Amino acid sequence: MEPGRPGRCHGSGPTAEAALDDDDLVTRVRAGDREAYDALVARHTASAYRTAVLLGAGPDAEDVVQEAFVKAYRKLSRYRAEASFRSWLLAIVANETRNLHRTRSRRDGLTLRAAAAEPVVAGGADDGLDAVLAAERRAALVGALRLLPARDREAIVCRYLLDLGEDETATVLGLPRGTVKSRTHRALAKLRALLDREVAHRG
Amino acid sequence: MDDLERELRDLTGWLEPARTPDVTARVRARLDAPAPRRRRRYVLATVLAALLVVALPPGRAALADAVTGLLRFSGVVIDSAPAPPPTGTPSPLPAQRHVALAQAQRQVRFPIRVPSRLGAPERVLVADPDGAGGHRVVSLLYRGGTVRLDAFDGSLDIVFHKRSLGADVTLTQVGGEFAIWVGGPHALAYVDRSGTERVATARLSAATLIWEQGGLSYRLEGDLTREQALDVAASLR
Repeated sequence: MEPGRPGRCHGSGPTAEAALDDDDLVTRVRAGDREAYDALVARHTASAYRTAVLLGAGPDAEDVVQEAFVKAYRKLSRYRAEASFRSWLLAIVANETRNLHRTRSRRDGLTLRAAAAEPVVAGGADDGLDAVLAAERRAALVGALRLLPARDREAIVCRYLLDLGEDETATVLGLPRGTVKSRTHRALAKLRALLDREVAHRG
Repeated sequence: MDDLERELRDLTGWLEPARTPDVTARVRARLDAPAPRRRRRYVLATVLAALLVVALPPGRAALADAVTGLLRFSGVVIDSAPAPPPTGTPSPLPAQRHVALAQAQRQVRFPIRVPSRLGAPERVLVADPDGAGGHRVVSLLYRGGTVRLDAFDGSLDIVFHKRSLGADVTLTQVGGEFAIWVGGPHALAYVDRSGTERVATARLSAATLIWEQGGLSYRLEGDLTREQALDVAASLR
């Protein structure tokens, strides 16, 4: 568990489950305790959903997450505690998201709310020019991300938008660590080139 | 880390989905198809209740649907994009009712903590009960109801602290943990268990401090300065 990634069970009151970590819960699920799986689902829905959205599942993110949890349950006997339960689950989420693209032949990954970014509408007198520029820059960044090849974008999304470490990214994307490193490096270079082009185009 | 990498990390705060769906019941239904669909309240309690604060900074630039500033923290979503004022009839928190403090303690599954700085509350409210009689939200009211401390059971996982914040929303700390200060006027909505957004009330549009402590999320709202609010927050006993 990385710092700042709570695996704890929030706010469920003084139940015995509150103190259990993921591996304890996995052990219970394997012993036939369905409620322990409910607890795992509740605990990891937010990360799973965020991952699906940022990897481009768009409006299907909820279905992807649901499917991933069902598959994870059925594959739980194959889970080895080499990676955290969370990374293992996110790998299933990433895979389901890719399947979605394949089956619906979606080229576009990042159907984010930022995707349709349009020029800023002039606001009131207290509008900082900086805020406007920052918003334009974010829109440009998202635009450039969308132009990246899916594999490159996945690396960027995992490493920066989801803030995963190299090891966890490797698990989630099912890639060797070295590949994560090189792909991230390459993707950043492409992104820079795209952004430079944008600036030149505007200028 | 160079500028582009930093920008990418900062972008996260703007792309965060506003709300996480609850899939627990549906996953369970699929795994357990013949069994009756029973909801596990204590599990839902970890994810579901979220307060939605819509900050309404006057005269901010309108970004066409897109890059909205969504900030999610401790069960609270702060949307700094321009939003229309709440419409419809304000409704209170679901099934909200007055109780005595001692009675309230028996009706929630978490210890109720009272800020010693404010003393004994004038009124106590509980709201949003689950099937087993546990309530999700307890509110302590002071100064004729103009100062209000809500404690709600649970929080969303806090992963992202790096945000681009507007002038009205700043990060601060309570007890060494991250907290959010919303200094400007805002409307308040409450997302109930079923994910339905309810307009809580327009009664207060004062400043609000939001923080998390011991697995609970707190929201202090009222005519307080930031320092006063932090002082009250630090005095929870």
